[in-house]
Amino acid sequence: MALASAPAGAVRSGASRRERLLTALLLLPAGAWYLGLLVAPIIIVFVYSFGTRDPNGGYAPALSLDNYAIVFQRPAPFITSILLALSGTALCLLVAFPLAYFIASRAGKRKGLLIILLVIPFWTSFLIRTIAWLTILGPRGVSGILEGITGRDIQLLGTPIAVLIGIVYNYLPLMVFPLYVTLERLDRTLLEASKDLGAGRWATFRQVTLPIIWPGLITGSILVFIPLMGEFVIPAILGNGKVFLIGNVLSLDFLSSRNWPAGSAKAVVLIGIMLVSVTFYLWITNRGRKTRDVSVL
Amino acid sequence: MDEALRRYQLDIARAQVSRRRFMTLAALGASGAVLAACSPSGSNSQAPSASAASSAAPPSEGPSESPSAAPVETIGPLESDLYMFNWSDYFADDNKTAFEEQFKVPITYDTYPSNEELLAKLQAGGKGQYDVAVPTAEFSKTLADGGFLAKLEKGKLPNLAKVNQRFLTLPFDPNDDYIVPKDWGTTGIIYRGSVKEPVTSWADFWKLATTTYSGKTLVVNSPGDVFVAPLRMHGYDVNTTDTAELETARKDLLALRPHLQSIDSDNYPDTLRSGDAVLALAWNGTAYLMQQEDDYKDTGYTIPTEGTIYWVDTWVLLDQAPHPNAAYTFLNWIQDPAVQVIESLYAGYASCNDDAKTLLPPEFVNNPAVYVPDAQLAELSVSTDQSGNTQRADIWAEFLAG
Repeated sequence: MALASAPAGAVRSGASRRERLLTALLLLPAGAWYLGLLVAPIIIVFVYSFGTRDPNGGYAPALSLDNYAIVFQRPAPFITSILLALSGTALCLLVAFPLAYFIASRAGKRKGLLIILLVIPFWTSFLIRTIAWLTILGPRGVSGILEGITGRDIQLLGTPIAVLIGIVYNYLPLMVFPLYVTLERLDRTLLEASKDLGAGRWATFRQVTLPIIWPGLITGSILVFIPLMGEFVIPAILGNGKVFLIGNVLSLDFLSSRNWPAGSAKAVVLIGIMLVSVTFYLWITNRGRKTRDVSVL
Repeated sequence: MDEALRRYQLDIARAQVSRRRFMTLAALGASGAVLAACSPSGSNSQAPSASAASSAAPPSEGPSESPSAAPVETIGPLESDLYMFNWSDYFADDNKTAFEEQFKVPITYDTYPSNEELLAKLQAGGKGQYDVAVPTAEFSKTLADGGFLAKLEKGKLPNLAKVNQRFLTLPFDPNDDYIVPKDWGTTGIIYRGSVKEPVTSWADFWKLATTTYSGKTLVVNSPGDVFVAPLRMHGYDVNTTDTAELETARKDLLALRPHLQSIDSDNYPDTLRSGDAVLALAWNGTAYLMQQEDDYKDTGYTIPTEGTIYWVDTWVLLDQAPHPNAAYTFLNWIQDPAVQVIESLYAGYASCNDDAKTLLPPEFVNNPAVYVPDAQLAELSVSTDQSGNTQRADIWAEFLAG
């Protein structure tokens, strides 16, 4: 929207002022939304994180770093969350890429049908779909079958594996669609040209396909990674209360201990981790892309 | 009367109770008290006065019996509604009908899933929208301190005299200013019939959980309950804030952690039914419910010999209640022994009312999954709200993280 007013900026006239007013009006709802529901809450959380717990729970003003000290004394949930988010994103990518590639390039007439099939499960509530995995992975499901085969007592529920399965299942479309959109736009003639110039399959993939789908890959990864860091429901259901992520810590602090400042400090650290890791990710992927551009030339 | 009540209890267990069944029970006329609870209060239906409220007390109760300390006050004219805020399924349908018929006051029943959400609702402008609510006793202090509860005028609640002293002057409400005890229960050990080893103490639980039933044991996801076991095993007070004692509990908890099948309060009854777990640190009500099902009749419940905590759920009158007279009438009526009997059998929990205990069927009263045996009463202590103790919060977070 800022771009829309840019050409008019060259001529300072009444028309441009009106246009700027229009721009401001158009930006107002989104701006108010971001200020009121994103910026203001983050500021509140930041201020609270230096406070102390009111004797009856909640927030009492103070100026201390104790809440941050606790975070670094007990980093386990943060580490578990980061590991699970990273492996979840990687697994989603591994599953989503072949699927998106198949739908975009090989599905032909069935393309629309496959897309619909991918979306249909999401007409059912997220909670119900996750709870359904309790049965699938439980003793009367996969665990029971594995037990029958190996003869050993195998429990999937309550392990990070169960949580990971639930994560990949629920987050897969967030990865498939951005990948599909970029693969769909992939110009097949470029692949043929690459072949004509003597590149093998792997070289073509690495030097032609990958750079083109790169934006979709980055978008998909970020779309999966960021909400995964705050995931709370899937570990609560499939983890039997034994897989403990930042989201679960936050709910414990805010609801059970009613220690808002402690929860706020953890939320601030979480936001910090996200900012740093996403910035780092974008930096490293963009840098990689530039060098590749050069090598292609 | 026992026979009729027993049948009623069975029906409750099978969730098949209809209003007609209840009326049949009442018609049996086995107990004057039961009859009194559902008989109409008289012709004055528009504005029943205090006499209507006190007539809820069964005729068999003489005025000489345990008189209330405060002089009896009259309750003003009843309003046309009563707004109740409660846990789901925690007020007997038959009692609801009986109250509505007797006092011509329809009850609106809204639900909340946790104490915290009750508080959140009241904080978010819920004040003045409800008359009565049902917090757990230790949470009533938080509500009272927040100014959400109205101080009870005890003169309007003569039936409070029927409540056992154990459930009054609790540390959360030393002067009984706010709470009318509803029902109570214990935290203990539930075990499936397949567990043949003796389970009588927390020490037994710990030993079995870390050996024979490793991976087949669960605990509820509630620090206030789980801390009880290690603290009592070492003979410490359940409400201790002593750093060294809590550190001992921490070591025990972390040693137990790898052996647990789950840490869960929501699905654990099903986990026990399926046999994924056969041993549980949990609440008595689940054991009672399972015992009512044909497949799980042999479910056992132990109140550990080292002692445990009991919980009390309470009725409270909310600040700025829109219908205070109806609320007072209700709070007094609900402590009527006959009403308590129905309430107790419906929820499967022990009544705080001593007169009701004598009216309940013996197998109900003698079941440790409902009532604590007299011999073990001395082992019980009441837990105070420890959610503000950062050492406990920290240990619990470490325990969950494993």
